[in-house]
Amino acid sequence: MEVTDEMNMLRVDMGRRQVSREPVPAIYERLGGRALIARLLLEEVPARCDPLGPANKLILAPGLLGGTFATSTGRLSAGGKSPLTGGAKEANSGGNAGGDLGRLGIKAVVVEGQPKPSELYLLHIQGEQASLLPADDLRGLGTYATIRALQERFGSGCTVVCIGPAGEQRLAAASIAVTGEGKQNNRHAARGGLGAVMGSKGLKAVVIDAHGLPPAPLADRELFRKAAQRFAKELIESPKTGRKGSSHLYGTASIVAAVNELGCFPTRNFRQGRFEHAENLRGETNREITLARGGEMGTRCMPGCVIACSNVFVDPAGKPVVATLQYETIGLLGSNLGLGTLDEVAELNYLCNDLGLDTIETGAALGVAAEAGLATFGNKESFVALLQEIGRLTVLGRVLGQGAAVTGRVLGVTRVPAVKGQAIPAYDPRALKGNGVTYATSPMGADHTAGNAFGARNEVAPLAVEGHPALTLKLQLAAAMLDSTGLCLFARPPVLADPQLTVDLINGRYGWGWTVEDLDRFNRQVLRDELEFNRRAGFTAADDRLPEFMCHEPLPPHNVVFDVPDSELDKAFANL
Amino acid sequence: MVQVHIFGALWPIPQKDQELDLGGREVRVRDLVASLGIDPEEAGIVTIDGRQCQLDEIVPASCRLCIFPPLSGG
Repeated sequence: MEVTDEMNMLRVDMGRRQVSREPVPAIYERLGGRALIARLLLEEVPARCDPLGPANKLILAPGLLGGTFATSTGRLSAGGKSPLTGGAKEANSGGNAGGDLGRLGIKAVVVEGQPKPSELYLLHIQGEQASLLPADDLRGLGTYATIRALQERFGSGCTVVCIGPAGEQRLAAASIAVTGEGKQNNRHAARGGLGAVMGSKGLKAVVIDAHGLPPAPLADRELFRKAAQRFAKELIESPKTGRKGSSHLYGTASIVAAVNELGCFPTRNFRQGRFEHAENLRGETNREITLARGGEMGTRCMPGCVIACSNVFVDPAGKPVVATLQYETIGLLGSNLGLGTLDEVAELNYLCNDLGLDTIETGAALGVAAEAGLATFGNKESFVALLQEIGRLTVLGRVLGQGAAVTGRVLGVTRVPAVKGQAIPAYDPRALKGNGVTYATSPMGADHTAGNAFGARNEVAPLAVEGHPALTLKLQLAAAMLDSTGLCLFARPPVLADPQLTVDLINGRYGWGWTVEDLDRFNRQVLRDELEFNRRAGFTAADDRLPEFMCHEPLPPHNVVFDVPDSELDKAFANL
Repeated sequence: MVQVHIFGALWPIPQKDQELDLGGREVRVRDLVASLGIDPEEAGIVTIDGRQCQLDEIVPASCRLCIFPPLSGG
């Protein structure tokens, strides 16, 4: 039995200040999350439009499994044409929003058009009702104050999706903040500048009240229940994701030691691959410090997650600084800036969160700025000063807020770690070449979550030059599936080991009668849609390349360059 | 001498850092890991001098060998 699709789409016309619900058009019915974003961009957004203009759209969409009671399926996908890359963009966040929209039966919130330049609004969604309300009282507020104000006004059980001053000012490094479970109240859909798109729509926040709503309806409750139980059991019993696993005990920072040992930990604007203070930044150290100070480890960002890899980092007095301190931030705001303590990283993390900035993009921009002599590697206060420039919207601050590529261009720095205009994450691709291939070829730009080769030991060695086209396609298809179903990346081991598990969850939810082959076709279409959008936007194979310096400058300690031939990069999607 | 470093508190290994003398023997990574009380199939990433290695590789007589638990990148 196929579930009568009770889902609908919320169209928010910012020009007319109107909110309307419409049935889901047939072309979007069997899509969710990143898949829906990719198709909607192709169908409705002129590929060459100005990302900050009226023709772009901001899409907030749960994955296909969002709102169900299966663990780790509540990720939110935010999407649009990226002002950073100029291409298709999906940025993903934990927290409550994905699950809430799923339970509300909302396939996507599509924000269109633009209000008058000085106008600022918030969108309030409660049950069947949705309305745009003036938000002038929130203008200029950081994300923490915005969230506090809105949860005081609409109830602490509400989920808030919002931008900070960076988004309001349309800075290309701007992120979208999302509240989560408990103290995980400042998650981010960070990559690609979608916070700027939200700001260009005059939308400060979306408040979602799904309080008391049941999980999403199921076509085959028994099939779904069994699949969900098996999924949870495998995660709980896994040495990676179970209660004794590294993810739960140490969080995402559990990989710091390994990445450093492999020599791909970005250090001082990607000049070295091993940081002499990496031991102080490890997940084990985070656990030790956090628990000793009365903070929290092993907490959830979304209800029902059995992995619980988040944390609440506190200062020496036990006061919460940031929830959660994650690997990428430790890399780009830590070792990449020569900063060797978690306290220093947490302070910069908090500032970025409050401004509503992607910590990866901002960390890379700060590294470039240090290379230009505007800050000093290892001197936290010099980086705090630069973040304050962004907060004060000085000319320098605006430059930095546009991300690493613009910062490099303005300051005359050529060693800029970016692909398609987006900063490279915390795996230097010279020593983890599989990630380099993903960064170069993904339609998302430099995005580790689009296909992370870290740990793929039995397939292609990190320093190997051969074998990459097949590996990257496999990894990128897997990422497309996860991002379209709402599944958390860290919950991937069981679903990648057995694709039938995802098929059972989807069929249990919708009754579509999918097979593993249908899922594979679905995953491939996501990438095809994104690649087509990017092609229409003017991208060519020349854009699928790493920064030139990474092809010539040897990276210590292995003294390697990125030497996967262009001909191999061009084969990445030959079998798509 | 082989400098061995073991990461992750979940393994009940009393000595996280130790030196081993292979005594001229040809020892595979798998066997060395097992000799430390770790099931090789449960090891995550193993590196020799910072290079990720396979379990069937021969351990050099003098090297730095690191054993990490199963890990997931984000």
